[in-house]
Amino acid sequence: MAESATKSAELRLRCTLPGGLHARPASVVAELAGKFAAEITLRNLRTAAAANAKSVLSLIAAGVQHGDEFALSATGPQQEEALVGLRRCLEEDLPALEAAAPAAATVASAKLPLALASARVAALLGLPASAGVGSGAVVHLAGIELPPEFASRPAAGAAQEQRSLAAAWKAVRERLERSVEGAAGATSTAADILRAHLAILADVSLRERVEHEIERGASAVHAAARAGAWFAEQLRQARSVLVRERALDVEDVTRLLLEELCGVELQPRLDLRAPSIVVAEDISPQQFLALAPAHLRGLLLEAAGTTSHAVLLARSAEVPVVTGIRDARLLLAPGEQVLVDGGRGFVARCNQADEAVQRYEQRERATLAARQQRLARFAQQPAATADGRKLEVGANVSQPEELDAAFRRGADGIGVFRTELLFTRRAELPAEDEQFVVYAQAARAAGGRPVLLRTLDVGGDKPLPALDLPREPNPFLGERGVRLYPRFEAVLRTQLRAMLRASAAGRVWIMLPMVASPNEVRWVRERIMEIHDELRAAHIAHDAATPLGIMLEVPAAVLAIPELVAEADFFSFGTNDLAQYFFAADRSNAAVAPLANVRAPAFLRLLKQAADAARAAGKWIGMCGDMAADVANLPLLLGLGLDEISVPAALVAQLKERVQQLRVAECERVLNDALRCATVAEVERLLAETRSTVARPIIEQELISVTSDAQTQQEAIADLAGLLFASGRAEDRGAIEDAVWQREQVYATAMGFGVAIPHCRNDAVLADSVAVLRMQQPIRWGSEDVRLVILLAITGAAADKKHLQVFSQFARKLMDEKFRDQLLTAPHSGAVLNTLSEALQLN
Amino acid sequence: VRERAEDDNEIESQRRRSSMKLVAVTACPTGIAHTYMAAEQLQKAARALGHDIKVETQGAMGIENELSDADIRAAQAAIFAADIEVERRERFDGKRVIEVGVQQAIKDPAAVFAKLG
Repeated sequence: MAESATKSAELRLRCTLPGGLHARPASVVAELAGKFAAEITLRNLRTAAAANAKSVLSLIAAGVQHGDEFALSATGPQQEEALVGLRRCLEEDLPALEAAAPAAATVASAKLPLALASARVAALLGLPASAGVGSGAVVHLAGIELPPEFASRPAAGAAQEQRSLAAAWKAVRERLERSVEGAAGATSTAADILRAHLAILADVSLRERVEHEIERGASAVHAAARAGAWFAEQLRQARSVLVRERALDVEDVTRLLLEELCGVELQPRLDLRAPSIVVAEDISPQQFLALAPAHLRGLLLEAAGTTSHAVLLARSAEVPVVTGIRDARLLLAPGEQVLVDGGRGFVARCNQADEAVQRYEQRERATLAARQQRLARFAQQPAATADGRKLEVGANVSQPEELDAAFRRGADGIGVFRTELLFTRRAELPAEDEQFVVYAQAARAAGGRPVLLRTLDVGGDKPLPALDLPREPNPFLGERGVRLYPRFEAVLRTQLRAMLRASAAGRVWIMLPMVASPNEVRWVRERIMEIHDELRAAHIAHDAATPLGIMLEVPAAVLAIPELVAEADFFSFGTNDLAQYFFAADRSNAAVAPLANVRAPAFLRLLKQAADAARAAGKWIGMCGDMAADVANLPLLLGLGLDEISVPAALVAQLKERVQQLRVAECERVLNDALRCATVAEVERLLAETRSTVARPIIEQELISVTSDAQTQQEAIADLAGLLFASGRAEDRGAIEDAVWQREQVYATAMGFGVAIPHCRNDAVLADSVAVLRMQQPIRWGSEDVRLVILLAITGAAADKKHLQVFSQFARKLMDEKFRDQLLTAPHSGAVLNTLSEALQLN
Repeated sequence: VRERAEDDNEIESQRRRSSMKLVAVTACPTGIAHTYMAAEQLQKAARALGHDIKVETQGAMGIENELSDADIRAAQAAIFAADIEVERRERFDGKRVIEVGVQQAIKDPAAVFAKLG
C-alpha cells in the first residue's frame, strides 16, 4: 500500500498542436495542473528537457514542438485525476482552442510587384505578417535600459527587498487585471495577451527565481532584471520560433516589475507625430499598444516570427507588418519615406520613385477595400443557396470573450456554447448568478439570434476537479454528459436555473449532451418544469417556452428520433462523437481514427435517416461537429436539408459565401449519389466534382471596370488579378500575375483592334472567370496600343468543359468588329456585362 | 438582259474555278483563346473568298471538329496556323501544307490564303 502511494503515475503523449506547446496552450496546461495537489512534471522526450507543469515559463522552455513525444508524470494526491484531466486537455480541448485561434495571414511570396520593379523602386523583402499597405516616415524603436541610478543602487537587506518585490508584484498584477477588464470590449487578442502576461506574473518558477536572487543578496531591481533575463534567454534558445517570441512577453513583464520598483517609466511612450513606419528588432505587445495608433501606418521587424502576440495585435488593429527584414534598422534611416506591404511582405523606398509607389499604394488600397467590403457583405447576410434555401451559419464558442468576434464575423447564432470552461477553469463550481451573467451576456450579444447553451458535458474522460466523478475503465462508454445528471442533480438545477433566467435576455435554447434514450430527456424536462414553477412563483423573468433539444452523438439516439421527437424540440449532430461511437473507433487513437470518417457512405446513411426523421416531425436540426466546418462537405449538408450548421467563427463568412454558390437540387443529387457509393474515396470524388460543376458565373459586374486609370501593362495585369482577389476568385494574386506574364512572354496577347486578351490556366484561379478593364487612356501592350483588356482565367486541374467551351466561343466572338465596338463604347460596366452575357448566352 | 446573265454566269464560273477545298488546324500554347480566334478568322476569310474550309482546333478541350482522312484526302491543301507542334501531323503526309503563326491568321487571314497561290 505504502509503496503504491508514493509511486508516481506517468503518461506519454505526442504533441498534435500545430505550433507546439507555446504560450497560449502552455498557460491552459499550467492553470489546470495548478488545480491538483500532485507534483506534475513534463519531460520532452526529444530534448530530455524537464518542466514543472504548473509553470507556464517552465513549460514553454521545454520546447515541445508539433510531433514531439513527451511524458507527464504526477506524484502525490490526485495524481491519477491530474493525468486524466491533462490528457483530455492536451488531446481535445487544446487542439480545439488552437483551431479557433486567429489564423496566420495568407502567405504570399515575398516578391516585388512588377509595377514597382519596372519603375526601379528600391525595396527590402521580408515575410508577410499582417496584411495591408501603409506609408510614412521611418521611426526606430530602441530597447530598454535600466537607468544607471537604479543599476548601481545596493540592496537594502533581503527582508526589505522581498517586501518591495511583493508590493511591486501585487501592483503590477492589479494593473494588468484592470487592463484585461478594459480590453474586454476591444479586440479579444489584446485581452489574451494581457492574460498571458498575468500568467507569466503568476508563474511559480519566475517568482521563485527572483526571490532566490534576493536571498543571495541582490536588490529586488537586480533580482527581477536577472531572473527575467534568464528566462528570456532560455526561451530564446528554443528551436521553435513561437517559443522564442515569448521571450518578449517575459521581458515585458520584467519591465513592468522594474518600472514599479523604480517608480519611473522605463520605456518612454513613443509619440508618433506624423504618419510613421516603426522599425524595430522586435516589439513587445506592451510596446505595440503604446504606439500612437493614429499615426502608426506600419511595422517592420528584423525578427522573423509572424505569430508573436504583437503581430496578432497588429492584425486585429489592421496595421500592416513585415517581419524578417534583416538589418532593417541599419538599412532604413530615421525619417526616410517608405511603403510597407504586409500582405506581400516587402518595404519599398519612396524617395527615388515617389509616383510609382504612390500609385501602387492607391491601387492596393482600392483592391483591399473592395475585398473587405465583399467579405463583410457575406458575413452580415443570412446565407441562402442559389435557389433560395436558407441555412443558418452559427459559431461554436467556449467562452464569453469569443462572442463579440463571432457576431462580428457574421454568425447567425451560437450553434453550441460549450459551458465546460466555466466549470473546469476553477476549483469550485460556479454559482448560479455567475453562470447567469455569462449566459445572459451571450443571449444579449446575440441580439435575437439563437444561442444553444449546452449543459455541462463532463464525466468519464472529462474530469471536473470540483465534482467527485467516478473513475471508469472505459470512460467514453461511461457516465458522461446527461448520464451524470441524476447523480449531480443540484449542479444541473443550478445550471438550468441560470440558463432559464438568461432566456429573458434573448433566445436561449438548452441542449443536452450524450442523450441515448427518451427517458433521459424526459427526466431533464421534468426538472425544467419544476424550475419554471419556482421562477414563476418567485416572479423571476424567464421564457417559459425555452426550447429543450439534444445533441445527436450516440447512434441509438439517431434511431430513436421517432420517440425522441415527443421530448426534444430540436436536434444538433455532434459528428465527432457520433462518428466515434458509430464506427467504434477512438478518434484520439491514430491507429483507428481514420475508420471514423464522416464521409463514409454508412455514416451518411445514418445522418440521412436522422435528418428525415427530424423533418418528418417538423423539428429543427443542425450540426455543430467538425464535419460542418469543412467547406467541401457543404453539398452533403444542404442535401440533408439541415436548418443550421455551426463552425469556428473564422470560417463563417467563407461558408456563407459557399452556400450561395450551391443549389439544393444539385446538393440532393450529390447526397443521393453519395448514399449509393461503396467507399469514402467514391464520396470524395463526387465532392471534388461538385466543386467544379457548381461554380460561380464566369462574369459578374464586380469583375468589370470601365474607368481604369492603369498606365502600364504591369498595372493592368495587377489590377485584373486584384479584381479576381477582391471577388474571392483567387487568394494568391502573385501566382495569377506570374501565370499571365508567363503567357505574355510567349508573345503579347494584344490581338490588334485595340484589344488584349491576357489569359492563364492556374490552380490559383478558384473559379473560371472573365475580368475586364477598359482604359481611360490607351496603354502599351507589347508592340500595340490597347484600350480594352480582357482576362480569361481558368482553374487549373479541374477545368470545367462547359466553361472552356464558353471561353472558346468568346474568343471567336471577339473577331466580330461589331461586338468589339459594343464593348469599347458601352456606357458603364452594367452594359459591358449585358453585352458579354448576351454574346456568351450566359443568361 | 441576256448579256447581263452571261456576265453573272461568267463571274460565278470564275469563282467556282478559283474556289478551293481546304482543311486547316489551329493550335496555340494555352489553347484557351488564340486557337479559336484563328479558326474563326480562317473560316470568315474563306467564306469571303469563296473557299470551302474545315478547321480543326487543337486547344484546351483537345481536338475538336477533327479532320477525317477523307476530309484531308479531298482537300487541295492544308493550313496550319499554329505556335506549337500540330498533333497527329502524319495525317497530312504528302499533302501540301501552308504553315503560319496563329497571330498571322488572326491579324491578316487574307494573306494566309494568298500563300495558296
